[in-house]
Amino acid sequence: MALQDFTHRGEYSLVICEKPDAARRVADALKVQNLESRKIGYSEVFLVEVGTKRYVICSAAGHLYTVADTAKKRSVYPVYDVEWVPLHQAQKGKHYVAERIRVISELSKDASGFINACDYDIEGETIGYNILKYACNGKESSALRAKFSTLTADELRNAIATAKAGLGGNLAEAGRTRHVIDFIYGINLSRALQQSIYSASKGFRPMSIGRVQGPTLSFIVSREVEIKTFVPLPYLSIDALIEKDGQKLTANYEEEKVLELKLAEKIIADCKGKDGLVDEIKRNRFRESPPTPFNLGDLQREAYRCIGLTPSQTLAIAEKLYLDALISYPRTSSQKLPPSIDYRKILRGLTEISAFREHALQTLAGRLIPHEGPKDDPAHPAIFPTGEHPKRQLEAKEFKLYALIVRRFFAVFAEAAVRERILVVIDIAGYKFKLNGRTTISPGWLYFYLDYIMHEDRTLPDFIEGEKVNVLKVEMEGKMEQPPPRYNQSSLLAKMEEESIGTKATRSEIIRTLYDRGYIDGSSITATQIGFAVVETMQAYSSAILSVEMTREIEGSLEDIEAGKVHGEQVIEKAIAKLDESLSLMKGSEKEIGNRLSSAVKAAVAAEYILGRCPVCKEGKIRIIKSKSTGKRFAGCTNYSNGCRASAPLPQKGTIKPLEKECSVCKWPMISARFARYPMKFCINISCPTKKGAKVV
Amino acid sequence: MCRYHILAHESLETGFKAWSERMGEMEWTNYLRRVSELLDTGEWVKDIARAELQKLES
Repeated sequence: MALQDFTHRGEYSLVICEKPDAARRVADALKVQNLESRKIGYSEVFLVEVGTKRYVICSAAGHLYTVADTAKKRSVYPVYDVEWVPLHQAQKGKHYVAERIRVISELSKDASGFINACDYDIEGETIGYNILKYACNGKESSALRAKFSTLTADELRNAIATAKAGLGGNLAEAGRTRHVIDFIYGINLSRALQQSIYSASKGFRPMSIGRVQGPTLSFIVSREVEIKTFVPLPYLSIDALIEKDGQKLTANYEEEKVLELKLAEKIIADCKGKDGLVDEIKRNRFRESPPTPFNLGDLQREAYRCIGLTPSQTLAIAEKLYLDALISYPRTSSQKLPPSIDYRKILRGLTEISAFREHALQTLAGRLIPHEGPKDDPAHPAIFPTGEHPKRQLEAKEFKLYALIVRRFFAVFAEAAVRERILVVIDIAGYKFKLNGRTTISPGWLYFYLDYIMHEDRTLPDFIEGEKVNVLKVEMEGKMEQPPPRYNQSSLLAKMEEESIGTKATRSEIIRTLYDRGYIDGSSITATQIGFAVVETMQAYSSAILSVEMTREIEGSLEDIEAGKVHGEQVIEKAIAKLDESLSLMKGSEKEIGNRLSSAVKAAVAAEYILGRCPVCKEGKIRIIKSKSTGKRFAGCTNYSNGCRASAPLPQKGTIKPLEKECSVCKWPMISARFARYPMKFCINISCPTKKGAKVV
Repeated sequence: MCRYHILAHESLETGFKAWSERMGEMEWTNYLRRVSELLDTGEWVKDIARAELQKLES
């Protein structure tokens, strides 16, 4: 085979990378004299000669091995006997994995040494360990470990040259244990739910729940309950409109919320026709510290806030930027930037990119001491730009995220912003009203990060203590307290982080799964009927799965494995014991659970088809119907059998969602139809008097 | 009533006390009307308020 051309030339070390792009980068970095490559199907293998040393570089494509149950009977649970198998044996459509394993296996036979050059974290360690163990026939203990945080040539050369055995510590054991526990929880609980539905309705619906999915879904359901049982309470806010040097200013009564109407009315009455007196002027100069360097969670939140990227989009784009060697490894918890990354070299590199040149030069001229946060990660520093010039045209979203990371990098080295708060207290009839001003004395880091912050100065005219002030009017406004906000993907991610559930790498994936399963919906996240049903079922039969404590305890045990305090088998045994209690309860109540879930699924499916109330008979509902003869969809009344003939055509392509409101003119239901990028919102009545084409939103 | 509507009912009753303290004595019916029209009132609270109003009106 073509590989023999490489393997029969003499002694070589086999370097295993996590992804094909990373393998190419390693090969390019090591290339001094000669670089050859061979393409075998999907796999590209490189041969590099560095002096007398020879390296053959190959790559995985993420995980090549996965956990599977030994029995392989899909409807059976509980299942606790599991094994690691090649991914293509457990999942459909992964045929390329077989070929990659075969190539690596072939290359391993004549290799004199092995270097694990997968990403240096728990997943990378697990990927490399499994390949060395299974594809390379038990080389996991003798292989060397290359440690790097960026894919820049210098760092990769150094990482390969200084690769050592045992550098990964117990990361692989912790990683493998996490995979086994997650598999055992996921497969058993999901099968329990699916089997329950089957025993109640003989139907099938993909359902899942896991030790991180459970508590996350539970947060959303609890918030939904809070919102749906919320009663807004009234309060009053009181403002005084004053005039100074021809400028009209609004001063707020010192109590932001006046809870009693009588008190508010008395204040208004007492202030009527009175002048104000400047009682006190307070100036408070304060320093606003620069932001800390990005870890993955911080980056995902900031990208959501500033650019509108979802956490999973941010992670995917950040990984691309990492593989392009533009930023450091993104799956990090660290908020620290050690001097070893060479700040000056990075900044000099950024001066070569016109969009950042000016800011990079200014940062270079300052003190290069980063404002670090408290969080650390033993494997990687915070996310930073490498200073390398993009080798390709970045897409708009990629550039936006890259720019955010670069500007944040500048900001962390900048001085604190110095700002001044001015508070003018005005006494009107013995009541204190406040005027707040804010000015920036020195912008510091705000200068570098201005595109991403809400920053507004409010300058007040010069007041003197004891000065009389003209009060134009004092008014009250009735307001209502607000319900707690729904989670969005960013705040949900923050909640998961705060509760220490999931990992930096898996949280966004968990949120995605909740959407895919139909448990949650919308960008302002609501729990669906199915989501509610799953949480209620778990509360009734296996509340531990929803508890943050249980999953947090498992996370703690996994950290203990990393620290060498406990072995993986012990942690797995304990986790199984807990799961087994829940599964026994569920097994004994399959029918009840199934009935509960099936009715929620049925109601949810039916609700998807209901567009709104029928404007013609006012009794039935307008729903989506698929014509048996033509296969086309249209809207018709559920009261058809009683004579209502209300109907309307519907778009034949795209997703249709009811907007849960009526057209203000014809009273037919409004829908949202998504054909391409933008949804169109319109009333379905083609005879609606206002109809002049659909409105693009 | 399901457990969520029981919660909503409790919330509606607690709310009435708070509304009366803040806005002065008010009629239960008047309170129900106002609460059921507010944009931020929870969906299940609105269900209960409307059902209570229907009961009072019939």
